[in-house]
Amino acid sequence: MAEAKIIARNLTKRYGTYTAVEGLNLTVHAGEIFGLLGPNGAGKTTSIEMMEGIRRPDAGTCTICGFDSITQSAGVRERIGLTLQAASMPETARVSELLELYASLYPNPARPGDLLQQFNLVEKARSTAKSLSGGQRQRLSLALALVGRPEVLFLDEPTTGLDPQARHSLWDVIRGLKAEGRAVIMSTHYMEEAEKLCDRVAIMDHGKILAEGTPRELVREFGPEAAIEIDVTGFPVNMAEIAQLSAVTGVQTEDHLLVLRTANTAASLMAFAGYAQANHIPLGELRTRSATMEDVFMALTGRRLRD
Amino acid sequence: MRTLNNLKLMTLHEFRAIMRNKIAFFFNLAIPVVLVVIFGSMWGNGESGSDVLDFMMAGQLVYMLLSAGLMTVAIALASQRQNGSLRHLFTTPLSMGVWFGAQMLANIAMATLQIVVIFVVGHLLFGVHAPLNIPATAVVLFISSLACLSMGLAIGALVKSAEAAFPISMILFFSIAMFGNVMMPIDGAPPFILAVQKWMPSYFMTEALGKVMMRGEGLLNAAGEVSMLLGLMVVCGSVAIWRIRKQMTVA
Repeated sequence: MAEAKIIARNLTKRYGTYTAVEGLNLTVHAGEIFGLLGPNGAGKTTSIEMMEGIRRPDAGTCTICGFDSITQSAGVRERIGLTLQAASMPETARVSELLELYASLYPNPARPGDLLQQFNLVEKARSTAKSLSGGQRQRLSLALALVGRPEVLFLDEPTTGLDPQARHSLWDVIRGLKAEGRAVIMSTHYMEEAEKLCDRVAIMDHGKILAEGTPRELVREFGPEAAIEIDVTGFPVNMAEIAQLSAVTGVQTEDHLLVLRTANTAASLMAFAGYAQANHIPLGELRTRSATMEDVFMALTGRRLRD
Repeated sequence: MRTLNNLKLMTLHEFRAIMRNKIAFFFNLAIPVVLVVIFGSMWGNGESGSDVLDFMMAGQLVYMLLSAGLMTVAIALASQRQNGSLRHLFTTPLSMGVWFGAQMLANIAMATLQIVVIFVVGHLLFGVHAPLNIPATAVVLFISSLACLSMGLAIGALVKSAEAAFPISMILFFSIAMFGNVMMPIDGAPPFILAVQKWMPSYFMTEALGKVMMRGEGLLNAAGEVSMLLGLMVVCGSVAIWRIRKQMTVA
């Protein structure tokens, strides 16, 4: 097992009677991407800020590379890099100036020129921060986070607002950080991002971690059922009868699709094929899918993440 | 060595930010120059006039320093707090000392530029005379500049939002300028206004400049005013640092 870089124990933050984060425990190792997944207001940003040492917890502790986030913040700040949610930076400063300024703040910084190349910002080196596109701002934000060669990276919703192409490009960069042995903790409210990018994921809601594990473990434990989706537009179906078919554990309609939850895809498929033939329902559009993180979130919280 | 490099780049960063702020440029440099041109055209100076412009230079200089400190710094700091860029900077190993030092150096650089520009314009166009005691004038101007900076930092650190910073700093700027003999002499004002005037930072600045710049007196003769400005700088600077440290490090 690689070295533990972030160790959070019982982190709690309250605002009056409202508890933003309650008893957060997690450990992130070198060379690992850890995702905090949850809807807006779940407590992801507060959790990350407590770990970074910029928000004081009401209870609990966090160590980063062996340094206490609050009492040894100077040691922590030399070892972390972070992006804030809004990718905030001085608007009139030029890209190259910002990289040089941030590089001057660290004992062993990366070369700004190398970062410009790595993040495909060479042509924008003389542009001001306010003239950059959303994707370029995020890349600059990540470059600034990396300029101090940090052992630990905190990325707060790094791909929010990006188009799919920019998002996938940023995923490649984050995978590269993992390959370099850095510990990365990121918050996201994108299921796909958590599933494809993160080695381990903690699902948060109402300030608590509801479940934690690899995406595969979470799906296996909390979303074991596969689903069969059939387009039955224009054909009457009897939901009660379908619910009785072999291995079917639940039936619902989503948009114009009939969705069968099943413990045995093959058995349910065979059974539904028989039902369709008997009731003259064509099987024009039919597909099966395994459970996803979306299903896991639904199972744990009783609602969809986008709700 | 690293700290010095930090300080150099941070100062450059702050100075560039001031210079690239078009509104600040207008208030800090363009308006004072225009005023010198207007007053110079109206009354002239030196042999052809009545040294009016020499007399008004102290007020113009204080106006510029107040504008740079109260308006530019306060609004910029409040904006940086609001958009998170200041917080982002303080998540790096940047120390409060380097940040504050850079603010001071950038402000002094800006003040130097303002002073040189206004004297050069005044001298070339209207024959404005150099200060009678140049070293003492420089000291008074730099201390005044730092006092204005500290007031601006305190306002920028205390206001709730960038939107609130603009009217607050504007009201303070005009109040301090108006009641402190910067915009016009208020010698004939009611007694309570004259009493208020004696506590205005701009009053200490114009009084001290009057002594060293116009009358050529030594710095010791302006020690009272300079001490008040230093005290103001320490108090406002401490409030600003306390508030920013509280907001930026651990909330």
